Amino acid sequence: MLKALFFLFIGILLNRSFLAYPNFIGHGYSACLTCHYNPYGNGPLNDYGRAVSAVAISGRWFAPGTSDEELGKSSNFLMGKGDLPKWFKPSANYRGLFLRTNPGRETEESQWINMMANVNAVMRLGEKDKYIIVASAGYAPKPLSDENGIHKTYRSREHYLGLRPNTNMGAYIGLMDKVYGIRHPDHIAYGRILTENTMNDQTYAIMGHFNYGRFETGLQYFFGNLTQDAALRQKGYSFKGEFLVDSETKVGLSLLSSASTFLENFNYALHMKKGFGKGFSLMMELGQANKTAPLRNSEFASRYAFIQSHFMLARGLYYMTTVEYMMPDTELTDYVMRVSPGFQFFPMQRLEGRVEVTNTRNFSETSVVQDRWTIMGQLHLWF
Amino acid sequence: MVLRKWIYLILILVWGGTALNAKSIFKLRDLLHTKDYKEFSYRIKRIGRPWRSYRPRQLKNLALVLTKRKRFAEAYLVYGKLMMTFHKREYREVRRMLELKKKIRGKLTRPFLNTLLAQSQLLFEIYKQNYHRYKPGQMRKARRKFYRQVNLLQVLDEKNEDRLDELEEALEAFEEEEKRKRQKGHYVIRLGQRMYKGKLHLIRESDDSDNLLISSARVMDFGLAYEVQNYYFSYHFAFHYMYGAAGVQSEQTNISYFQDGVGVGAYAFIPGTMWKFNGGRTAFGLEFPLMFRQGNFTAPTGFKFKNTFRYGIGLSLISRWMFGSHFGLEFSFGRMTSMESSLWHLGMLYGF
Repeated sequence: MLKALFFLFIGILLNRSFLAYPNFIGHGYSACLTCHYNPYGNGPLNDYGRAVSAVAISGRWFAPGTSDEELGKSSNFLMGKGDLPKWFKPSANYRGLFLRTNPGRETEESQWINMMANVNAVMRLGEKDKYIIVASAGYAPKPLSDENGIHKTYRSREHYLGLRPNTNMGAYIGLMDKVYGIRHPDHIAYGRILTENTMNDQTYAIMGHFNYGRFETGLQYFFGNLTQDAALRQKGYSFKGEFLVDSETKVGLSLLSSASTFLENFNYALHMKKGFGKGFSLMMELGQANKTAPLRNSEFASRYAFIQSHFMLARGLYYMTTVEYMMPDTELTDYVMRVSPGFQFFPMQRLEGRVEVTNTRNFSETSVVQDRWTIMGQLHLWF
Repeated sequence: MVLRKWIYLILILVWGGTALNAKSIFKLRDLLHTKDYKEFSYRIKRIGRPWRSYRPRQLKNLALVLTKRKRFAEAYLVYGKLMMTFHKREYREVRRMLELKKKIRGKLTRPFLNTLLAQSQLLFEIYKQNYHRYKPGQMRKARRKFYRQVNLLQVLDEKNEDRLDELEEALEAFEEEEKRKRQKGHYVIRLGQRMYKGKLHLIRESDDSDNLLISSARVMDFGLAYEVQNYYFSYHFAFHYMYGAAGVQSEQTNISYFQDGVGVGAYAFIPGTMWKFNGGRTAFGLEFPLMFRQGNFTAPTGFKFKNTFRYGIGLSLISRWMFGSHFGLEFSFGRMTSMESSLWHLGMLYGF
C-alpha cells in the first residue's frame, strides 16, 4: 500500500515544465499559447513566456531593486548572455521532491526524489514561429513498482513539429500530451489518473488548434506511444472546446475516446478557469471516465472533481488549496476526498518551491479507516 | 470736476481701473458671503462688470480665501474664470489640444500652469470633501476629472511632475484610508457540507475496559452569520446547525464494531476574521469554531458509550470566492480538539 502511495506521489508535478500554469488566468493570461510553444501548455516557454515569468510572476526577494527591463533581458537561456542564434532556443530544468508519508506515525517515511532533469530544444523557423520543432528528453525516475527493471531512467516526453500559419490555427504532429481537461501541473490528480493523462501518458498524435474570437478548440487524433507494445497502445481522438466568457473566465468541455486491445476509454469533463483579480484564481474540473474491458466483458464508470485555488499573498508567494473528489465506481457509494492546502513560491526567476500538506479521507458504507497524511516539498529550477 | 477726472486717470493707471468700481469690488467680496455653491455660481455668472476689469491678483486672492474657508468648489470656479479671462490664448490652445489632438502653439506661461496646478489640488480637495456624499457614478466622475487634469498637467508641465505625483499618491492614500475606515455590517446565509472524524470510547461494563472507536461524519450545514467589513478586512460571527450521518468503527482489534448511517447532529458558534483581496472578490482568513455534537450511536449488550455528546474548539483556514456581489463559495480546513482528524467545510454563501 505504501509503495503504491509512494508511486502515486512521485508523479506529482512530474511533467510540469517551466513556469506558466493555468491559474495564471488570475494574471490575465487565459490562453496557454501566449507563453508556450504548445497551444495546450506544458513544455518549453517562448521568449514572451520567459519574460512574463521573470517580470510578472516571480518575486524579487533577493534583488529588490532590479528593474523589469533587466529581469526581462536576463530571463533567457544563460541569462541572455549566450550568443545563440535566434532560431535555436535551448533550455534545461530540474525538479526534486521531498516526500514525507504518514508524519508522526510509526510508519513515517521521508525521502528525496529527483523527479526530472531535462534538456529541451526548440527550433523556430519562419516568421513569427511559423514552423517549430520541439524536443525534450532527460532523466525520469523508475517507479518503485518496477522491480524487474522494465522502465528506463531516461525518457522523451515531447518531440513534435508544429506549423502555425497564423495565430488562429496551428497543426502539430509528434509525441505530445493528450488534449483533455485543464492542463494543471498536478499529474497525480484523480482526474488525471482516471482519464490516463498522467506524467507518462504522452502519445504520438496529430493535433489541430483553432481560435475563433472567444472560442478556442483543439482536436487530436492519437495512435499511442510507439515505445509501448502495440496491443497496449491507446488509439483514439480527443476534443477540447473553451469559451472565454470575459477576460477572467473561461469555461470548456473535453471529450476523449480511445481503445486498445484490452481497454476502451470514454471520458468527458466540464471545466472552468476563473480569475479574481491579479494573482487570484479558481479552477474546477468535473468529469467522468468510462472504461470497458472487451475481453473480460466488464465495464465501469468513475467520477472525479478537481478544485484548485490560488491566492497571491505577495508577489511570488501564493497560498493554494486543492480539493479533490473521486468515486471509483459509480455503482457504489464509496468515494475518496483529498484536501491539500499549501504554499507555492517563486522567490526569484528560475526558482520555484512548493510546500503542501495532503489529507486523504475515504468515505465508505463498509468501513471507517484512518485518514492518510502526506507532507511534500518541491524544488524546481530552470535555466 | 477737472481734478476729479485727473484723480480717476491716476487711479486707472495705477490700479488698472479696478479700484474705480467700488460696486464690483463689493461684488467680489460679497461672493464670500454666499450661503452655498448654488448661490455662488449664480452670482459669479451675473457679476456686473466684465471680468477683465479685475486684476488677476484679486481673483487669485478670492480663490485663496475661498480655499482657506474650505469652499473648494467655488475656488475652482474662480480659478476657471481667471484662466478664461487672463490666459485666453493658453486656455484656447489647451482646449484645442484636447479636442483636436493638435500640438500647442507657442509657450504656456508659468502663471497659467500654476493656476492649472491649483485647480488640480482643488479637485483633490473637492473629492475628499464629498467622498462620503457621492453616489457611485458621481464618485467615478469626480475621480476621472481629477486624473484627467493631473494627466494633462503631466504632459504640459514637467517642472511640477513631482508635485503631481505627490498629489496622485495623496489621493490613493486617502482612498485606502477611507476604505479601511468604512465599516459595513450585513447578514450572510451559509449552506454546505461539513466532514469530520470523531473519537468515541466504548466501555465494557464487566471490566470497565476502554475501546477506542472512530466515527466519520458527513453533515449538511446551515449557518447564519453577521459580518462586519471594510474594504480590507471582515469579521464575522456565525451560528451553524448541522445534521447528517456517520459511520463508526473500532480502532482496536480486540473488539469488532461497525455501524453505518448513524444519525448525528451538531451546532457551532464560529467567529472568524478574513483578509479581503480585490475589494472582497476573494478572501482568506481564520475561523475559531466552538462545536457541540451528538450521535445516536448504539452500544452492544454489555457495553456503554462514555461520550456521545462532545464539544471542542478549533482553528480553521477559510477561503472565499465571490461570484458577483451576493453569491460565493467557501472552503475551510482545520483541526479541533476532541476530533480524530481534520475538519472540512465546503459550501455556498449568500450575502444580503
